[in-house]
Parts: sequence; structure tokens; C-alpha cells
Amino acid sequence: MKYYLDITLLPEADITLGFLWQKVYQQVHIALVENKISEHQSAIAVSFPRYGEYAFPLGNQLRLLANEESQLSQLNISKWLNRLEDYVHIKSIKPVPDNATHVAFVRQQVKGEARVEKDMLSKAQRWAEKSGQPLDTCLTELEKTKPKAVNSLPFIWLESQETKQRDAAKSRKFPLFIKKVEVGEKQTGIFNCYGLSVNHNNKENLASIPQF
Amino acid sequence: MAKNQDTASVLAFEKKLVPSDGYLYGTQWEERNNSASQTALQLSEKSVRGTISNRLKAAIKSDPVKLNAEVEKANLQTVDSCALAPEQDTLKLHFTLKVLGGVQKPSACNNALFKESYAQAVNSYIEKESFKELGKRYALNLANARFLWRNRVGAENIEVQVNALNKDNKQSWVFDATKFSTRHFENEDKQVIELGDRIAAALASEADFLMLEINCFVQVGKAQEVYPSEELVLDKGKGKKSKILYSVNDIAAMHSQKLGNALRSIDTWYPEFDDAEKSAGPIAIEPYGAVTNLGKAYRTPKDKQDFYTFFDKWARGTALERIEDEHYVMAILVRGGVFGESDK
Repeated sequence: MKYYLDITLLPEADITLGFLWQKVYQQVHIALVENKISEHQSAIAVSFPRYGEYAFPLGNQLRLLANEESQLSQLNISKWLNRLEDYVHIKSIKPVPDNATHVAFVRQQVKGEARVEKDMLSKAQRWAEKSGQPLDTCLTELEKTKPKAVNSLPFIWLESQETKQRDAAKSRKFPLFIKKVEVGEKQTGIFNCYGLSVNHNNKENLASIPQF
Repeated sequence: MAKNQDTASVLAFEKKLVPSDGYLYGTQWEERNNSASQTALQLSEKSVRGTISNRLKAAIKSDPVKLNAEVEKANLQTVDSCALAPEQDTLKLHFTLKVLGGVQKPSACNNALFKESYAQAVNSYIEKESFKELGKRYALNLANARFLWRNRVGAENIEVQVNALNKDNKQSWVFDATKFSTRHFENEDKQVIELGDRIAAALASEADFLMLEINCFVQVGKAQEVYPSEELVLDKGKGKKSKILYSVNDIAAMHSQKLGNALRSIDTWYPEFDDAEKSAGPIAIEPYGAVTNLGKAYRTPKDKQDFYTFFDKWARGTALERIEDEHYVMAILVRGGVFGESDK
């Protein structure tokens, strides 16, 4: 990743950063989908230079990165954020400085409480069938290893455009949890259309971006 | 007490920009001028498994661990929400705005000497400026549809229709709000100047008024959520509704205070405005420049940039350094309030 451009979110009274992240990231996601290089793969990555900031977990800045300057200019992000121009400030494309460290941003899938309950029940049912024990016993036994639905990562509310297209009244928002992983050295990999590294289970396969 | 001969312990000003509540309707963009297609929006109650999405609450904010631990715990709650119908893509916000004259006279003042020097200061301001700058800024806040607040973010099309309803002087304006920025007031649009002059004339008058009707159409997309005002609920009991939205006679609505706050968001004269990092954009006219949502006051008495510092000098005949400071003082008087000082 050799070139970048920064987008600053400008909150106002009543228009909070969380609300702006939602609106901005939705547009960025659509832009990346429209410019994808193959199924679910984007040449452009995103970064959150102020991730973990005290006042707001994601900070107020979104950075787009690419290997070629032309990839960023072709994306033409100001066109996609056109309707948000009073609420964001887009800087020009600049080369990445040499002294950058490397990190990766990945999406963390989190099961909610309801999903955890559902999984527990089906697991207990299968176990009860197999072992012949009553369901209650299985459930109490499984309770000990029940995963917690607690998650402390920053997130952005998004809306699935596909669901919405199928049925406008049924559209639902979901939180996109974003995890920052320190990788130490530069690593190549694949970015999805959220601009995040494709989530492999081991750190070595993550796609890193320069952090500065 | 004799040393404070011109201290007014009772001093109050009526507000001169008086908005009504704003009412929310749903319609389609192409049908926006056909009132038959407009339906009043109603609040609906939802039970959701909530997560904390507003992280800016001060108590939680100060503790980063607590802040994130709040996320995604099973948090069943009942909230109000408001959205367009599936076939509607446009929100209509309707309100009226009365602009009153008579800023020369406080509505209450118990000191004749002060009243006299104050009247002199106002009259010289009116003579010099005729309220042109303030009128233009209020007009721009109508034209840019700042009063839509969150409903404005990311909207596809926004049209503001303003009608002057005064019997003897009817006039209409139509603005494409996407052409007017909410970040600055540098705009010389002819229609804005025209509307601004009407507002200025009413403000500068002794007893005249201007009655405006505003119909604003925002294309936000089919079935999208819209944002009426939220009611401040002080005793949130467990199991009760945690978010209550405002409605009048079953029509979702915005508080008149909230509309008023947007209209007087014209203060670009505070010290930190030009600092790109610290600026909050134009802020609402307030005696201490307070922006409650950001938990910050931009005009602290310490920096001598607050209303009282300016007003005490100005109303007693001392000229202020910058004309912008005078604009600011006059805008506070237009906002109204109780400004008496202790005579002890």
C-alpha cells in the first residue's frame, strides 16, 4: 500500500460521530463493491488511524489506501460521499511515508445472546439424542462452557443493501465489529469490500496496511 | 449601591425568532406539491435487543473499559421509532416562523439610566448595520435546511419552500438546500439576500413582524427511518420505555426549541472557529457558546469572549473591538433571555 487519502468526519450538535460513521462507511462499502477486482475482493483497503481513541473508539478519521495512485483516483470517493459533503472533509491523495509500522484491521463476527442460546439448545439436543440423557441434564452440563456474548470492540451500524432490496420494510441494521491486529511486519493478503483484511484464523495470513 | 447607578437587576428580552413545532409527514418526491399524497407520520413502538450505540455519555465515556463492556449485552428495551411508509421516499417537515421587531425595548428593565444607554447602543447598531448580516445568516439557515438536523445527513434531494404570509406583502422562495453549505455563511445568492432583507427589516422595526411558513421536503429513500425530537425522560424505570419521541396529536414532531436552535446556529465568531482541529462549525448563539452535545463551551468568561463581557461594555456606550462582536451581542438579544445582574 503506497498511497492514501484521509477522510475526516465532522460531527455537529445532534449529529454524533457514531451516526456519521454509519452514513460514511455505508457509502464507502458501496464504492468498494462497485470497484471490486474480483468477487468479494477490493484493491483498496481502509484504516482507522485514530482507532481506540479516548473520546470515541473509532476516532474521527477514515483512511483509504491503495498500491497505485490511479486506483484511488479512479475510485473517486468524493463522488460517493457527495451527499455528505457538509459532514466530511476529504484530503488529497498522498504517498505513504517510509517509516510506517504495520497493522491489520479485520471484521470480528460476534454471536449475539439470542444466537448463543439457539446454538446451545441445538448442541444439547444433539448430545441428548446421542447419549440418551435427558435434555435438561445436557443443558446444565453445557452451561459450564457457555460462550459469553460480551464483546468490547468498536463497531459501526450498517444496513444490508441486499436484504433491503428484497424487502424494503424488513431491512435491519447489524453492527460491524472491527478489530485491530498488530502484525509487526508487512504482510500481503486479500481485502474484502469493507476494505478490511479477509479474516483468517492465524495472524500470518492477514493483509496488513501501513499505520502512521 | 449608589456606585452602580446604571445596573439593571431586572433585565429580560423576549425572543424575536419564534418557531412553531415542526410536523413530520411522508410523501413521494414527485408528488411533493400535491398535498393529497401526504400522510402524517406516526411513532411506532419497537422492542429490540439493544446495544449501546451512543458512546458519548459523559459518565460512561470517562471509563473506557465500562464503555465497551456495555456493548452487546442482552439488553431488551422498548423504544419509539419513526419511519416513512414502504412506498414513501420523502419526508416533509412543516413549521412556521414569526420574526418580531422591537429589540430596542427590553421586556423588563428596572433601571432608567441603563435603559437609555442600551437603547442608544441598539439604535446606532441598527442605523449602521440594519440587521443585514444577521438577517442573511438566519435566511441561510432556512435555505440550507440545517433545521432538519440528522434528517439532513446524506439526503438525496432537499427542497425548502418559504412563504411570507403577511397579508399586505406576500412572497415566496424555493431553495435547493444541497446548494447551501451548513459549514459557512459565504453566499451571495439573490433569493437568500431577499429573504434575509425581509427578516432584517422585521428585526430592525419597532413593532412590525414577519410571518413565514416553511415546507421542507427531503428525499431520504423508501421506508427510511426519520428522526423527530427525542423527549427528555428523567425517571427511566426498569422495564419502561427508554426512548420516547415527540408527537403532537399523533403526528411525529420536532420541538420548537430544536428548530430555534438550528436557526440561530450562526456563531462563527468564537475564537476556535478558524482552528480546523477544534472548530465545531457554526454554533448556536448562546451566552457562553455552549454546545451541550459536545459538552463544551466555546466562549468562556475566562477568555473574555462571552456575552456578558461584551454586553456590559457595549450597552453602556463603549465600542467593541470588532463588528463581529456586536453581531454576536445583537444575536443574543434576538434569542432573548434574562440577563439581569446583581446590584450588590
